[in-house]
Amino acid sequence: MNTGHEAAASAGPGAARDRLRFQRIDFALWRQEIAPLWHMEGAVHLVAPLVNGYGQLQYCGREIHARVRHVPLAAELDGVRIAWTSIYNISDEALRLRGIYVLPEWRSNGVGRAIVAHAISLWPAGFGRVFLYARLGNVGRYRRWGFEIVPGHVPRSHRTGIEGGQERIVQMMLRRAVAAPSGGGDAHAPGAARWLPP
Amino acid sequence: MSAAPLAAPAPAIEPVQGGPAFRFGFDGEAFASRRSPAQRYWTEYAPASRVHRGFAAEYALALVDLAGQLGRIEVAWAGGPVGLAAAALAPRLGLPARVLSLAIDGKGPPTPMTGLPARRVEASFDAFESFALGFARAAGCGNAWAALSAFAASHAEWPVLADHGEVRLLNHGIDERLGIVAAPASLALVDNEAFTALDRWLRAERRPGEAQLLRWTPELVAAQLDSPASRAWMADSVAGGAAALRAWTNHAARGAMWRRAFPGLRHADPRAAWPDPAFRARMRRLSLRMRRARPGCSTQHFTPLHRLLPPLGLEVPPGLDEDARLYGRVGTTAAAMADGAEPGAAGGKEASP
Repeated sequence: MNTGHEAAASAGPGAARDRLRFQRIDFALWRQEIAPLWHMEGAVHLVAPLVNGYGQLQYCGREIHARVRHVPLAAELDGVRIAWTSIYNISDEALRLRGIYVLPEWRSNGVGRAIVAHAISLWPAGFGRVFLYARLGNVGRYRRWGFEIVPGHVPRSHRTGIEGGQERIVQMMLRRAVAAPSGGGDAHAPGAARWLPP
Repeated sequence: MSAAPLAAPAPAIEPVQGGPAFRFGFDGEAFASRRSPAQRYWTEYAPASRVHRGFAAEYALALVDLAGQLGRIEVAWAGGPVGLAAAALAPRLGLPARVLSLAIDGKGPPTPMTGLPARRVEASFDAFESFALGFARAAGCGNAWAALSAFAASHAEWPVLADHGEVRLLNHGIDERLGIVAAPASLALVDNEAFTALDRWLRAERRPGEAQLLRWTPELVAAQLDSPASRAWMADSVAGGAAALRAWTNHAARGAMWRRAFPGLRHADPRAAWPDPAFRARMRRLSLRMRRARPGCSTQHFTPLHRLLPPLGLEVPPGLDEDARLYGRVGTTAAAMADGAEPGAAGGKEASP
């Protein structure tokens, strides 16, 4: 894993987000890299490529393989990976962000917001809603990014989410037509939708 | 456990186009076994071709169709309603059938007295344990109770009907750990990878038989979903509040469905048929050993009910399509559900929010 914490931190946080490079990586590599950050080193196999999220996934049967486009992403700064996320379509109209992780020394620098903006920007505007499950401690951050708690949804327990000692999560939603998080570089602006190759 | 005569009349028998109404697989392979942890489990259901005739009638039709395909059947009874109803119906329907019941170290559910020829197999727990570890490798499943059903089936001399299966529904809106309604009703059919372990074992052993009688025809699946008990469960779930909290899954509704369809039978959860605490403790330890020998088999596949019901010819109750409003629609048809262009599915434990 090429995280290189110390080297990356020495580069300075200044305009880090402007120097980010986003990279689509294989899921096998994605989960290999993110598992230790989630304290799941011994259970990498439990990091599934897709999770249903309490009924989010509207595809069923073999549609899931045929129609879901799963995109694991990483953000590199000066050749060192410092952030990860993944995104996939849960229907023909909505997306789910699954897993947003920024190395601790690079937090509060706009890195998470930038990789999320990039992830969303990869999809056509027809995918008008973006969902995520947020641990309660992160709700304020995601609100600043334009997400809101889904009406009628309240914090619920999380089956294996003991990271950080928080066991409550809540579903949040971003309406792309209304608001979208502003990302790092212009090339990754939310409006610059590009369809992913299959 | 003994069975009283059936109160429900024997249905008129007509030829039925049976199975496979239900398919499962991993990535591109249908009816396959898992070859790697990265493979994704999927299930799918064929659309109905006619209106269902109610659960009791559809169950009997499926049984007749299965017996016609297999020639004769040996019901490997594990104490559950699938085997009990089959054993009770077979003589009334004139099907060539007999019952096999299992005892481990002298204990086990008593052979049901249904008028069918019956034989009892006695085995030691040690013998079962040895079998179970092989089952874990063959079926890719570390569930000792599934292995117990397979162990019974392994003693069958005729094509076997496993006393196995259920149509399990779940309301994602309920947080069962906190005991709260955490979101509007979001109902789904649950297909655990473990549910088809017995199917995989039968195929691996090249043993004729069936482990999914409750999924034999689309109309039988439809009849279960459309039973009064299932409809009441759906209505309660959509209503929210205390009504929804009473039932995270349709466990109680399934029992009510069986009792209404076959009121003369005393039905039980198969696990309740093995009440000995020491035996159940050994089963838990065995499951742990099996999972260590063969990790995996823990994934789930959910089919949203609002998508499953229409292809089965069933109306979607008011309020049950809120998922589609929130999460978006899928441009597809019943045919697409049955004949997806590519295979594959995923599921699994929520590893991270």
